[in-house]
Amino acid sequence: MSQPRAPEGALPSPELNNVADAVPALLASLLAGRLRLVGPQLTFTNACVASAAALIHGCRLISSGRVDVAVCAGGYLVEEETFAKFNSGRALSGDGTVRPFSADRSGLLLGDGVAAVVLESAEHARRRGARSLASVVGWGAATDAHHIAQPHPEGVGLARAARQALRLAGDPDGASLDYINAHGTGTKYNDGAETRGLHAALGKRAESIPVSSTKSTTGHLLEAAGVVEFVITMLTLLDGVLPPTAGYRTPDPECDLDYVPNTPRPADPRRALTINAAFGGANTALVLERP
Amino acid sequence: MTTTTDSPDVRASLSVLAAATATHGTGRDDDITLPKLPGFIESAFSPLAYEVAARCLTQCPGDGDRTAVALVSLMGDTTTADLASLRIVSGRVLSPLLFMQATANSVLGHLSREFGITGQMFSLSTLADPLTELLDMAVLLLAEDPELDRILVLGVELGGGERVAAVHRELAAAHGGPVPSVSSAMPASALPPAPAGVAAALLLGRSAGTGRPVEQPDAAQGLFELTTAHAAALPGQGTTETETPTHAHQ
Repeated sequence: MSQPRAPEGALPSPELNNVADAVPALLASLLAGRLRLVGPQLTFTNACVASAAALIHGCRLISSGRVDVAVCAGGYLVEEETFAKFNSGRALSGDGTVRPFSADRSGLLLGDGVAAVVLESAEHARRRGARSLASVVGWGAATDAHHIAQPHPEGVGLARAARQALRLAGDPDGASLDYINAHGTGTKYNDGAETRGLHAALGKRAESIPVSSTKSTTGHLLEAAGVVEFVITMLTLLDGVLPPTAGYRTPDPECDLDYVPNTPRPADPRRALTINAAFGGANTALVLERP
Repeated sequence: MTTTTDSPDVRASLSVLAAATATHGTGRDDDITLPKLPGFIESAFSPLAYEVAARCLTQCPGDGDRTAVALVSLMGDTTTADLASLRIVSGRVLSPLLFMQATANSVLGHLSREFGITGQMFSLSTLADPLTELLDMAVLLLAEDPELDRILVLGVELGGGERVAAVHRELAAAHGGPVPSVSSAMPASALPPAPAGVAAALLLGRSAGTGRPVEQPDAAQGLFELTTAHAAALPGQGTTETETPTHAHQ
C-alpha cells in the first residue's frame, strides 16, 4: 500500500498489552509486528460479521493484486460486560442450551474461540510450493436496511450476500453447493430469517443442501464467528464430515431445511457456503472449494 | 496482512459527491446540537455519525442498493463502553440501550433503514492514518465490486475521560508521537471529555475521468480537514454536477 508502514520487524511495546482491550486496532498491530508483516493492518469491528468482513477484504486485496498474502484472525473470550449487554437484550438462551433452528430455541450462548487463516494468491502459493487447504471462490456482503438490531424477517440482505458470493463462484444457482455453515444463533429472529434468506437465494435447491449451525457446539463467538466458522467449513470439506446442529429437538415449520440434527454426517462435500449476520442488518457470505 | 506490491496512486479514480463535518462539545463556534435518534441517548457517537452521514446522503441522493458505508474509529463508542463498565462494577443492571449501542453496527443499521442502503456496511479501527485507509478502501471497493457505485466513508472520535486519556498516553509513548486521528487539528487525545466528539463523512463515487489526479493526503491532514475543504468547495452539493476529485490540498 502507498502509505508509510511500520518498519519490517518492528516489535510492539509490551506495555501496550495493557490497553489492547480498549483499542481494537492494537491487536492487529501487535500481531503484525511479531509476525513481521508490513502491509495494511486493519481491525474490523462490525460485530458478528467482523472477521468474515476481514476475510472478504483480504480476498479483495488479493484478487486486486494489491497483496499476495493476507493474515486474517479473530478471537473472542467471554467477559462480563458483553455478557451483561446480551443479557439485558434478552438474547441469551433461557434453558442454557443453544438449539438453532429448533422450535424450542430460546436464544444464544456466548463462547470462547479464536482462529486465524492465511489467505494467499494461487500464483504466490504455487511459486513457493505451498499446498492450499481450500480455495475461496466467492464472497459477498450486503445490508438489510431494516432494523438497528433485528434481521430482516425475510433474510433479504443475507440472500443478497449469498447470491453475490455464488455469482462470483460461477454458480449463481448454488448447484455445486454441498454444505452450508449457517449463522444459526438459536434466536427466534435469526433462524427463521436465515432459513427464508437461504430459500430466497437458492430456490428449490435449498431443500437438498445440508445446513448446520456450529454455534450449537462452539457458542456464539461474536467478532470471531466468521473466521472460526470459515475454518470449520474448510475442515468440513477436508474431513468429509458435516458438523451437526447440536441441541436440535423439535422441528419448526418456519425452519424447514436439512439441519444435520445432533449427529455428524459423513459426506463428500466439494463446495460449501459459510454465512454470517450481525447487528444493524450486516450480512456476509463466503464460498469455499476443496482443491 | 503483508503486501508485495506498491499500489499506484489510484485515488484519481475517486470523486467526492458530498462532504460533511460535525463537532459537538469541543468549544468551536460551529459545534452542533446532537440530532435526536430514538434509542441512542447515552453517547454522542451514533448521533455524530448519523449527522454527517445523513447530510451527505441527503445532499446527494442515490441508489442505496449500490452504496456501501465504511466507518472508522480508533476506540469506537468509548462513552457507552465506559458507562457499561461503570454500571457493572457498581453492581447496577445494564440498560438494554447499551446492548443496542454496543457496536457501530447499530447506527449503521439505522442509516441503512433511513436511506435504503443495502450495500456492504462495516466499521474499522486502525492505528494507521484513517484518511489513507478509508480512501484506499473506497478505491478497492469501487474497483472490485461491480454492484457498487458509491461509498460513504466516515470517521468518528469521542473525547474521553480518564481511561481514554490513559490509553492515548500509552499509545503516543509507544508510537513516539500522537496516534493518527480522524482530525489532525482536534485529535481525540486533545478533545474535552465526553460528550465532545468530531465526525466527518465523504460520499465518494467513481471519477468520470475528468478529475485531477488525487494527491497523497498531506501527512498533517486528517479526514476532518480534508472533508472540511471539500465541503467548502462544494457549494452546490446535491447534484452530481458538483463532483470534484478528491484532492488533499483543496
